Parts: sequence; structure tokens; C-alpha cells
Amino acid sequence: MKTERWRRSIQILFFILIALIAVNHTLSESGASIPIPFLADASLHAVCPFGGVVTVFKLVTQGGFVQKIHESSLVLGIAVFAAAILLGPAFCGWICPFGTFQEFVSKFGRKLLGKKFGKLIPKKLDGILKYLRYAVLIWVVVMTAISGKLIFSDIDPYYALFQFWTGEVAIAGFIALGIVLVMSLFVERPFCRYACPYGAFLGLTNLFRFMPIHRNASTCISCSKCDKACSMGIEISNKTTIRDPRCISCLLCTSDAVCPVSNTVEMKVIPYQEIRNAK
Amino acid sequence: MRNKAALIAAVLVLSLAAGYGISKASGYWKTKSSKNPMKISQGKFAGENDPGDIRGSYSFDDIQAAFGIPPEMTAAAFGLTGNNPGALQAKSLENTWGELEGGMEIGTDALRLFTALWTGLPYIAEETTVLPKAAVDILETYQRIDTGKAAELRLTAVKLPNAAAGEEISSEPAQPEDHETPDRMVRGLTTFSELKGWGVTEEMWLEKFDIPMGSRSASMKDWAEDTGLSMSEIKSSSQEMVDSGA
Repeated sequence: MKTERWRRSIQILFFILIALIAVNHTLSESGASIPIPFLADASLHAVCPFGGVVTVFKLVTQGGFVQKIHESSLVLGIAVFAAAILLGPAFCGWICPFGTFQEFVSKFGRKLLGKKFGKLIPKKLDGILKYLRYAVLIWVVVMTAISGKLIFSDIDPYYALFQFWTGEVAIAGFIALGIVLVMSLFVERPFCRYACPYGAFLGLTNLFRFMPIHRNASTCISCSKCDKACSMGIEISNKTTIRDPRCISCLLCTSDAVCPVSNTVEMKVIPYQEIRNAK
Repeated sequence: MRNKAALIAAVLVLSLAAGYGISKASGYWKTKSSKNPMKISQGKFAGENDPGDIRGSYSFDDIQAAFGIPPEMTAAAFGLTGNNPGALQAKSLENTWGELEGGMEIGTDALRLFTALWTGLPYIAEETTVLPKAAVDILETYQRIDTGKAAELRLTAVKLPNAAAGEEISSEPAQPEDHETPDRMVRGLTTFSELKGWGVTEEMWLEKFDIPMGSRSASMKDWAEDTGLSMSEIKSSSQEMVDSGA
């Protein structure tokens, strides 16, 4: 399972990197720091690409950044968005340490619940809840624009996870982290599915990305293994090109992973002619 | 590239590395605030540094560079000292004083307010923000505010433990005390903040007057005018409450 090995390696690499940055920032505030040159003593906010999204309004209207956000966030935000135009929200499926954390907890959930895992939320409810993250995105962007402050950090479970030792995490952040932790035992990536504003933003690139996931209907044997593998709950087996905003480009559904038929589910540039023929 | 996983890994790592590399090379990459506050965009102070943009990471040296307040002055105003007051950061106020009794706060916002008052620039502080008494004294002594404004600020100002007694100033956390009225005598200018500090609770107040207490900065005289009750009745009844709670 080469695909999964690649993905896990990248996930672990970035999880360790972010953890090191978070610890190093705490150490630097007390006068010590890990001598890793490019890490410097950046804060967690400084290396979060979502900061680049929420600060855009202030940057355009006032020429400055919202509190705790710096140029680095904007640079990373642009880099991640550029990659997403090509590959969709691969950042979520491959890099985001909080996604990795949820997947890790869900492994225990699968062991505990067996086949019952993932059945906690009925499909109908899931179909409604999947829009919740857009409400969160709008709320965060609007409130940040109004206040000029990073308001989401108070309820951000990702921030709570990587800063729990600092005393800077609000109670609401710990509560959010606790809820995500418990829910991850029952559902794959609950925060990504229902609440992540950055996932909601990046997810929109699925609508126009150059290399979407494609299912070749003529060779598909309708085994639904792709549906079961999807950590975001997308039904792949009834689509040809996956334009669902929830797709995180993890590639678990593809013929390089669970799909038993080669060249049937794959990420590729869809030539215009092929799209026309499919219609 | 046939291996799509390798493609994704390469694109992600390269895009981040390119973003970092290009911005670093061009000098745009910054993971810390530039310590240059934003400019006020409109009104008669347009173009001036905005005290409202002071952040927790600003050192007292940064404040001096942007607003011209000597770091020793800022440190004294907030009851902090050390060999190098210029290196102290705005957020050290949060760590040293932070939230006070009654939900009031001395933190970065108090420094913004102090800076605005020192420079005469506009800034509306948060409702819970208060200044130390020493800060008000400094502002008045250096004629940055008039006596009327000083009196207004003193209604809510708190006396920090090391500020008046000539004790060695330190940034060790300490419990601030309410400003001076050692005899606990209720007067017309006594505020609800003081009353609460003397042990008078909302419940005691309601039981006696059947009307809620005023805001923390409101004085007995203000409350008497608002409610139409006589000052002497308020004074005697509240004095009883203070004495019974002592």
C-alpha cells in the first residue's frame, strides 16, 4: 500500500514539525530554544495558513494583519491554495496535524467499535451537518474582520492540542478538543467534516481543481470499497468525477489503494473531450 | 508522474518550500510582528501610530520607538521593573496583573489606554480595562491629562502593591488593592467598585434598597441622583453594610 505509506510519512513529518515549533515557541519565551535555524521561534499562529485567509480583509482594507498573524501565514496560505488549485485540499489529507490526530484517535475507535464505527451519525443528518463548516467559516471571517482579532483561536481545538501546556488556551478550546476527541472514536475526522473553517475554504477548490479524483464507470465493478475508504463520507461509487467539496485528496479510494481494479479510481487531469463524452 | 502519492507529496512540499524560500529571499517572510503599529486611517490624527494596534509582543522599547514613552516610565506606571525595562513586553502585564477582582483587568489593553492618554491619541479601551493608580499619577504629573480626567480615571484605578510604598518593584504576581480609602468611610464620591472591595455584595444591596447596584465606576452621588433616594440614607445604610462585612 504505497499510497498510504507516502501519506503517513508526510503526515508524521508535519505533525512532528508543528509540535517542535509549538514547543520551541514556548521555550523561546522563557529564553531557551531548540537550535533549528528556520524554525526560529515562530508561534503556532505564524505557521498556520488559515491565518492568511482570515487576515485578507484587514490586509486589503487597512494594509495590516489581524493580531498574532504575520506575513508567514499569508505566504503559507497562498502556497497551500496554489497546491489546492491543482490537487484540491491535499493539505487537509496530507499535512494538517489536526487531521492526523483525528485519524490516529479514529484508529482506536475502529478497534473498539468494529463495524459500528462510522455509524453514529445517520446519513440524513450528515447531509445537513456537512454545511455547518461553511457557517463556521463565514462567522470566523466576518468576526475576525470586525474585531481585528483572531477570535477562532479561543475555540480552536487544534490550537488547544498544540498549546495545552501554555496556559493560553481558553476553556472553550479544551471543550472543543474534548468533543473532537470523543467524536473521533465514533466518526472519522469529525472536525474536518462538520466544523473546520479552513477545510470548508479549501474544499471549494474541488469544484475547479485541475486534477480531480475520477472513477471510470466502464471498468468499475461497484464493490463500494471506495465509499467505505472515504474518511469524509463521500459516495464515490455513484460519481464519475469527484467534485464534492469534502474530498481531501487522501487517495485512499483510488486504484493505488483500496480500489481492486487498476486505473479505475484515480486522480488525473480530465481532458475536456472525456468530460463531454461522459455526459 | 505515475505515482500520484509521490506527486501529491512533491507538490505539497515544493509549494510550501517555494513559498518559504521566495519570501525569505525577498525579505517578506516574517513570523513576528514588525512592531510598527498601524497608522490611524482617518480623522485629525490620520497618519499617526495607532495605540489600538499595540500587541502583547511589543516590548516597552517598541512602545518608545513608536510613541516616545520612555520604558522606565511605562514600567513604573505599571509597577514593573528590572535591569532592562525596555525588554519587558506588553503581555508581561497580563502575566503579572491580568484579571483583577470584579472582572477588571490590567493587561495589554491598559497599556494601549496609557499610551493613548500619554500621546493624546484616540483610543476607546475595553470596559473591563483599568489603569494602576501610579499610571494615573504619572500621566497627571507629566501633564498628559488634566486634573478632571485624572479624577475620572482614579475612580476605577487600582493601587498596585509596590507602587506607593517605595518597595522594590518586581514583576512577581501580586494582589492589587483598591485605591485608598483606608478608613472605609462611605462618601458621595465612593464608587461601587470600592464598596464591593469592602465586602458589600449585590445581594446585600438589593435586600436593603431593592434596586441593583450601579456600574463599578458610578459613585454614591451618581446613584442617589439616578434613583432619587436621599444621599444620607444611602450613606448610612451602605456604611452599615461595610461595617457588618468588615
